[in-house]
Amino acid sequence: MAKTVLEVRNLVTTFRIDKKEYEVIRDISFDIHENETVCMVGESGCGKSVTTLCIMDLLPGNGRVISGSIKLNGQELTTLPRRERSALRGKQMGMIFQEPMTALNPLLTIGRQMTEGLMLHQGMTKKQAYDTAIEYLEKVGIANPKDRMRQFPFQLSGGLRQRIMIAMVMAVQPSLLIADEPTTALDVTIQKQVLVLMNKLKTDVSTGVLFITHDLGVVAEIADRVVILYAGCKVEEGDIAEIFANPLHPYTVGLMKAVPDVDAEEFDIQPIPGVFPNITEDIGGCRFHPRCPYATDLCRAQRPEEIEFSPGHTVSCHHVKEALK
Amino acid sequence: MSEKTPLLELKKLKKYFPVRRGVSIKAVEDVSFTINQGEKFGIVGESGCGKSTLGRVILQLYPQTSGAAIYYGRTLEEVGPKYLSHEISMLMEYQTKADEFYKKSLEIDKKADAVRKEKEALSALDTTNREVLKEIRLSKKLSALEFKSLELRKDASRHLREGSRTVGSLILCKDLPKIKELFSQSAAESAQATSAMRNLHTLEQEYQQLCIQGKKDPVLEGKITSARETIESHVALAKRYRQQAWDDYHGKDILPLTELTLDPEYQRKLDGNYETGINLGKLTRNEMRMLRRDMQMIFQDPAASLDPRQTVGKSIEEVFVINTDLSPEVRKERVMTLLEEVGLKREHYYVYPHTLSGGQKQRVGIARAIALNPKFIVLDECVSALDVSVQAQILQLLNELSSEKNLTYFFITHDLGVVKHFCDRIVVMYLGNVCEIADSKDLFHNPFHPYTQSLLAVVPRLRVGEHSTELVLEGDVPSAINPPTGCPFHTRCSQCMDICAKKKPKPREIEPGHFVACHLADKEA
Repeated sequence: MAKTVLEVRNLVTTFRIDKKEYEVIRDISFDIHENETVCMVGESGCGKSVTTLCIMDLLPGNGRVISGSIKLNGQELTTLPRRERSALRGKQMGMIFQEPMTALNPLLTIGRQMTEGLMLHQGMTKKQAYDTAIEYLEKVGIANPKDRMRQFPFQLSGGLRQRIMIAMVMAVQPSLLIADEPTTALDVTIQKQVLVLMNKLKTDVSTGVLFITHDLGVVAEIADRVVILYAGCKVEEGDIAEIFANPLHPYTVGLMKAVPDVDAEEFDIQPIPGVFPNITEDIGGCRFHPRCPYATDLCRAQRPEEIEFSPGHTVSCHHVKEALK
Repeated sequence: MSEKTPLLELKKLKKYFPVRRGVSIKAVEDVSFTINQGEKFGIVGESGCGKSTLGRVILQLYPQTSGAAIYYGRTLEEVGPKYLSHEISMLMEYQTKADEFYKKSLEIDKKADAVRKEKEALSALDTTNREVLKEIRLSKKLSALEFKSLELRKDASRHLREGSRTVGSLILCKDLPKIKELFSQSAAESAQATSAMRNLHTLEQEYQQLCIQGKKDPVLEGKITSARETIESHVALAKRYRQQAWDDYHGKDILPLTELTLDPEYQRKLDGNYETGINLGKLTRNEMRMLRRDMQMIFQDPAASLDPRQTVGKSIEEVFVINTDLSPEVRKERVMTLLEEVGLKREHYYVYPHTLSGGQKQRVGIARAIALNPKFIVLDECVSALDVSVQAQILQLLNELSSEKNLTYFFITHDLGVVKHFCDRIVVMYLGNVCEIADSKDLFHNPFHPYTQSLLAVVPRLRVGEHSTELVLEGDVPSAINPPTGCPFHTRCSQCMDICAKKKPKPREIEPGHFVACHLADKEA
């Protein structure tokens, strides 16, 4: 087994809204190994972005990690002082955001922004940092890297900006890379370029990647393992092939059915009925029960525990448990 | 689709956005296709390919640079547009101008002939005696004259073409004054029909109001019936006058205006220009405003398209305030029924947009778009910002609405999975140009254009381990300010040939209903 890069155990996070605490992340656990891409899938509001913010310690002022542990390369993060944690950011954990335009500083040249991290985290001289930056720009397939170093973000297309973000993060050689919907704002052709690139770089730098997305097509393309979240709970986790061949949780099944498949001859649009719950809503038992076609009294009353269906494939559903008995 | 009646026809539609002097973004370039009634017409392409611009140009939210969007959802008689009578009054001028231009060009031809003879005489001389300089001067003069003559001919045929939009090949007839007479009579009838139509509209609103209050008024009903009859008789007369002109004069006494006019092929071409629909680009502001009831738009970002300070109910009600004279109670009732129709609750009338989820907001957007019973809706990436499960709900709703109300959709998207299963026909655009038009099944089974093929190759599949790293398009889309010469795609095309950089491919029908603009298709044929 490859080295475990990130270990998240029983993470619980709350947000304070109108003087009340609401649980946004409810007891989530997962691991990321070296050279592995873990995709976190779910609808907006399911807590996937909040999970990354917990790991990066970038939660907004009203958010708080209540319990659980986050270990990066065996080092516990939740108890670490702020300053030390901040030193890890960018060095051991890199993050790529959805909208590269907002993530890049519009007032600084690409070169300035590329070298800044290298000089800060790797202690390089200006010259070394410049050379490394050029090397990584070439690695992400950018032609004329020397010209690009002098340009400002607004002069570049969306695809180029995202590549530069990737180069910038990877140049520091972090052990964990978090990518929050990095291709959602891009066209399919550019998305493909970025995905191919990320797959290549992952093995080059031997990083663990946490990839956030809601596009199941992208998941099928890039992931080694999938974690499916629903309303702050992990409902299913497993190997990519296993999840696509044998989805167990009703929510996973519903998600798969809702995506129009380009390869299918016929496609009946089958939406998951109902509305995604607001975090302020109090839903007892299984969080998915109001929208689940199989919901029983047990689902309404008791929260399902996680069970291992097959090695590495876990699911939280009463019905699967029943079936296994 | 059993019957295919066109609803909208685009003819060489162009849209350039000026940037500065002499520089413009060529957003939409010579786009022509027809959208049929009740069809879900999809349009795909990368960002910047002009798909949104096209949608907006169709709705006349942007004026087109050239070309025309012809709307068939209403007849000319119903709308009675002002441009029509203007065009009719211009008919004679078109004809005489064309004649004049052609005669001038003939004169210039004569001059050119004289020059040519002189030049030939000169070149027949012995080389030593030839006055080389004079010969050069003559050939320069000759080419200038030829060019001028050609331009004049072009002007002549442009005038004829302009006229043929209103009367077809009748523009060539000797009896044009009489034809003009008949057409203006027809236009006068149309105008009467239009005003009767407005009258009917108010009457119907009154009637609706009474219906909702549960009352009946036989006098009003009688008025409505008689108004309908008046309209019908005017429309019938208008049609008859035009038909009469057509029957009496079509193909008869054709003037030899230019050398082409006697050619039946040319006449047929002019007949093809004859517009039986409404040219949206020529309508006045008010006329277009009336027609907007028929043509609505749903936007990508539901949050941005709703006023955060207005309740959902007020937002939708505004449509009725602007377009109808319904009383407040009736308006409210209509809005509530609409909310139910799109799968919301009546209580949602009183809430503010921020309390709704993305899917619910989009439903409000849909309610607003269908409020006036439109015929045609432009959906600009309307499900792209939604989660998959919500996206499926909205698509289902749109599907239901289209079959219930016989709506025609112009569905702009970049998601090939959605477009395949939602649309009947698809057009693929690249850099403002149409690459391929086909039935959706056909397009996915048998994509012909290299761009379509590479688009399909990079779509994330729902299969594990079936992802190729091949066929990835290199680089970015070129700038639309300075698009590549010839085929716009040739810079990224894997099967680029010599001709591709030089000549722009014309759309060719490779199978019934399957059009491709690619030199490869020409080569095969």
